[in-house]
Amino acid sequence: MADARRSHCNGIAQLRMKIEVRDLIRKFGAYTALNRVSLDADDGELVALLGPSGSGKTTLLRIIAGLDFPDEGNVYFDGVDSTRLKIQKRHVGFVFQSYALFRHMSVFKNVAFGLEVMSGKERLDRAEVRNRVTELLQLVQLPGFENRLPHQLSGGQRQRVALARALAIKPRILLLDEPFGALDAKVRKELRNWIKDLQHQLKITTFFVTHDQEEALEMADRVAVMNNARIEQIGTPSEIQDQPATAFVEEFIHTKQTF
Amino acid sequence: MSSAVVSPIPKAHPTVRDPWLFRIGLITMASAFLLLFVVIPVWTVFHEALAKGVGTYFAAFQDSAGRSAIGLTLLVAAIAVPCNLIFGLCASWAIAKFQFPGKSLLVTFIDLPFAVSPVVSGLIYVLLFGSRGWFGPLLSAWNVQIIFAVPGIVLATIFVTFPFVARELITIMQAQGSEEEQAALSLGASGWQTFWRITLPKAKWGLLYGVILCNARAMGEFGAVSVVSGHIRGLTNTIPLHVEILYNEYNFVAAFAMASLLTLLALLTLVIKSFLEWRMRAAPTATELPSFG
Repeated sequence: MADARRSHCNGIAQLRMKIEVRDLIRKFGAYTALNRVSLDADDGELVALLGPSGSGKTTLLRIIAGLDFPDEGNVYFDGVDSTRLKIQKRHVGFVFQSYALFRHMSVFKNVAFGLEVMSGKERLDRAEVRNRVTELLQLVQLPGFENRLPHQLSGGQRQRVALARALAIKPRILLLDEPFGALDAKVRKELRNWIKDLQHQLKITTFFVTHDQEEALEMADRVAVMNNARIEQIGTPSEIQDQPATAFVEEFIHTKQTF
Repeated sequence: MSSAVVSPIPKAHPTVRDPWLFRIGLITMASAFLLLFVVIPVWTVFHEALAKGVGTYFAAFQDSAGRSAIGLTLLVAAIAVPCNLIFGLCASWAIAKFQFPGKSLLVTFIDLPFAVSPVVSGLIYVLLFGSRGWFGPLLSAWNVQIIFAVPGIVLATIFVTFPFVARELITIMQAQGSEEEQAALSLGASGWQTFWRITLPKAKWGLLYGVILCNARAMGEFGAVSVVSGHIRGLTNTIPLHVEILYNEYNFVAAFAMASLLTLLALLTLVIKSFLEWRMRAAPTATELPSFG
């Protein structure tokens, strides 16, 4: 188990990425989702995009992923302008809020998907695919779940399968959209620590979107607080808590989350 | 009370019952109606077809006009069903996954063949491609015959049956959303791989369901085909048209023997349809299930 995890970490470690987001503007008709948003993330950093719904955080995540494109502004991966790069070429691991597991495929097929659609030299043979999937399922603590179908898994298990599937392609960055949104409070707390540990081990640059300030402050290396299509403040959790830059941040951080 | 906690749908309380006379009355009426309008006609078809023995029954299929009608029906279905399968996939993909101007108009037009009388559907093609129609002079100059020939029958059948696959798929694709497709793309799959490995397998039972209904209608269509066929025996008669001709010639055994083929097709369609409905209910719908720790 420990060996499997280490070898996987080695595989990913060399692929760390610095992300720069510059002056993004994104409008949907008359509605502005992002209004000149800039943001950096260093190698291996865990960055939370925190804000109320409609603040633009998911749009920002989708633009970094290549699922959406900005009207103005740029996204740089390790200094290379990747704003218009197709999602297939970005090598990003995206975990959807609903997990979006392929419902007609087993856990094995789900995790192997990214490996099986590879072409040319990158392509792995069957045995290599099997090894990678076994390794990844050990990494997300679901060994032996290969033949289950998504609807036979609990919410937390589905999320870990989605994570393993995203990690299978050795992504340059990891993007998580409301990773705990669909889970109940107890599982949420457990997975929070687990994902934080995993991210620290893998040292993969990670963005995650959340509307829960406690989650953001507890997990992230840095937090970007968003409101009304802008970033109000970026800083470490202690900076955000001790020196809120605006009245909105002050209020949002200190309001108890209500569900 | 405890049963209400387990099942979200409260069951009717066993002690509160409708009067027995009312229940028996309703059941009797429903059964009598089915017997009168479904069971007796179906039984009559086979009874009349076999009235003069099995030999006469099978002789009806030896007749060259009868054989050509069966062949033409199979040919028309073999062209119309794949066409509507491809059209249905394109239309449902476009409607479920993209926003574009005129989308609701397109959805409305897909339902048009259900709303319009089949005879009118046939007449549209006569007006377009008939010898005195819009394209008539052009077609006769090229020596191409559409009306009173097989191409016209195929066109009319495609028109009448195109909603089946499209409607079924639009409903399914809209319900399933496109997040799985986005996930596939993010994992490096091309659009083509995403379609074959994700979109199509997700919709396969609904697709088959649409194809089965489309096929049943394509083989059984009478009105639209009757208008464009010209009723040339051995050339442009499908099974339903052939049945009518035989019946008008007082050749009842042959008419009912041919009709029994369509009836068997209908029964087979019902069986496959029930199976597919069962499969679609049983199919995993991961994203619709509630999460539980």
